[in-house]
Amino acid sequence: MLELKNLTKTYGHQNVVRDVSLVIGKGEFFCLLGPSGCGKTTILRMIAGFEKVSAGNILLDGVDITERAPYQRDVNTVFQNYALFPNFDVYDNIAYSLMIKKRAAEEIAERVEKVVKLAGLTGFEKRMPGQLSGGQQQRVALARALINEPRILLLDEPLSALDKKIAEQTRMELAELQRKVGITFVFVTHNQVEALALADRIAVMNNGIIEQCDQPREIYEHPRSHFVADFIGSMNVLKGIITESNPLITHVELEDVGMIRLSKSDNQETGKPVIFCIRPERMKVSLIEPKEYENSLKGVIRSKVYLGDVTHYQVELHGGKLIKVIAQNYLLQLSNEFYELGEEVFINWSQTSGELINA
Amino acid sequence: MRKLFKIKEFHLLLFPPAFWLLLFFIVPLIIVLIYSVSFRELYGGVKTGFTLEHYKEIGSEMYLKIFLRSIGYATITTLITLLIAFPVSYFMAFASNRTKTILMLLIIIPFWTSFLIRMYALMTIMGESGLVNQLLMTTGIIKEPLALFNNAFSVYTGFVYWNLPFMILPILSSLDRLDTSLLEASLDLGATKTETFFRITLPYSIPGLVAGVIFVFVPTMGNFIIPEFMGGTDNYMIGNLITSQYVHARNWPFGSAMSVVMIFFVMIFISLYLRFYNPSKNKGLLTI
Repeated sequence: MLELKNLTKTYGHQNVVRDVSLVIGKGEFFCLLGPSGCGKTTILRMIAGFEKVSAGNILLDGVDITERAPYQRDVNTVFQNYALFPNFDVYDNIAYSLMIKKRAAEEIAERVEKVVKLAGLTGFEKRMPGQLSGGQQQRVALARALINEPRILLLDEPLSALDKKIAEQTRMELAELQRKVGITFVFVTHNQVEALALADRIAVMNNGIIEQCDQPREIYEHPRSHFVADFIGSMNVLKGIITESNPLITHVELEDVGMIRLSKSDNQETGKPVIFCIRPERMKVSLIEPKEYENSLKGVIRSKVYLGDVTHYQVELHGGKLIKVIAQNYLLQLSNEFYELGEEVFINWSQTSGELINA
Repeated sequence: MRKLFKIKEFHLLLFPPAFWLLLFFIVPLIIVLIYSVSFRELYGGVKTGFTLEHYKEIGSEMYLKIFLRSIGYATITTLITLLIAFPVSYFMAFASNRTKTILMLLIIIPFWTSFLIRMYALMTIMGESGLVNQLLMTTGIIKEPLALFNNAFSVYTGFVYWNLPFMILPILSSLDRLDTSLLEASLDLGATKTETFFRITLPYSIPGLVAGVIFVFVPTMGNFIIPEFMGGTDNYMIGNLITSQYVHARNWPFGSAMSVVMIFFVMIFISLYLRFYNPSKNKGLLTI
């Protein structure tokens, strides 16, 4: 179990990481997600021991390792650029930590073989790093870090240097590998798709703080801050004020748009400024008047992008706001609904959809 | 076709340097080689012919001693320079850009002054009534002036001072390319800072180190100005001997023979060195 307690990192007057507390469970695939400069890599580097902690503590299985040197921590890292030793072949790269520990040659050979097999690198042992593809280099970096069976494996954007296709394939292998070895993975990425696909839990970071830490589904479906709503996936974000709220229904007056109703309600106070967020795929472009359990806005289709599986619409409301709507093409075909640019349409969505976030 | 044509044009660029080398390097070398087997005329002229007597003369004890001394000086100078230069390069490679620029300037600025002037400056500093001795005497640390001059110490000082930049810069250029994440990876994998230095940093600096050693050893071997200025007659090196044969004794054939022998030794040294150091096979050094 890895525990971060009020972790803070300051460079000069700049707080890069601010008072971050986190508990990462054993065997968890944990993801630090955020834009560049949000402090996610700094946290990773503090866990690895490459950066001094300005304030706070890092506990590994209850033991404070804050002040320990990198080589005294039972933690290994897969670097963003892999940092393979260019003068060593694959075998020596992987065996490096065991050679440092002066293990017997037979033991080294045995363990390297095991991890080489695990990483799918059989036959590449004598190659030099420069002779490997990006994907293979990534596996060597992974094997080198895993051979010690560390308590925590830190991965710093390990897929960002790969082609999209290979990155997707490697992503799946990575998830499988993590299940196989059962080691806690802490994964840093700016790529939300990777985070959603891989992580058991995601901490979304911005400006040195954790905006929200939850399971991928919760992060996607119920963002709890404006930043998370905006950062993860595509989102329509509208400002408004609560005009009525009771246990059954909440009324929100949206700026330049009009009144909408939300059937879920946790007793918001009236008059409070809020942000209403709704995913484009939760909305529907339609010519049909809304049902009584639906919200509806009227607008004109301004753009339409056909992407095979889905079509992206942008609908301009009468107040001038643009709303994104994503429609499944097979559903459009089933109901024989096709909309053209400039067409006057309704945007309908269920009152159970969408989230209210404090402004 | 077009590409071939381009390559031919490109090759034309090689003519000026090739011509230059031919005229000022190959031709003089051949002349020296011919002189070295020629006869000496009474008043310093050279008479063509064939004799090996000049080479035999080099084998005499006096000259052999000077020869060995030159090799000794060059070797020890190279070692001292290396020991001083490496930490400097190491520090510079990992310093901030600002510090690096300032240090780089400090290394390069002396080049703006003539070599001779710098040697005179060194003489003033190290002489019997020079800056160092006066400072030590007025502060009462010593009573008699130290013999800092006209001995092996002053020769080494001069050589090391002169050679440092030629060692620092190539090592720096190697270490500069060292990706710090490699060092982090090594620490991460359980190596201490010392182990990381010997397994990663040092092997990585070897190409620069090799260049630096050649840049220092070879010119030191043939240098005659520093022993002349700083060393007095007891510290004559092969360079001084050759100069005196050409300039004072006017024995050009003998000077040429000595030059040939020196060039031969230096060539042997460089080829052995390069053979020993094989960039693609320096794994042996890595797995100490």
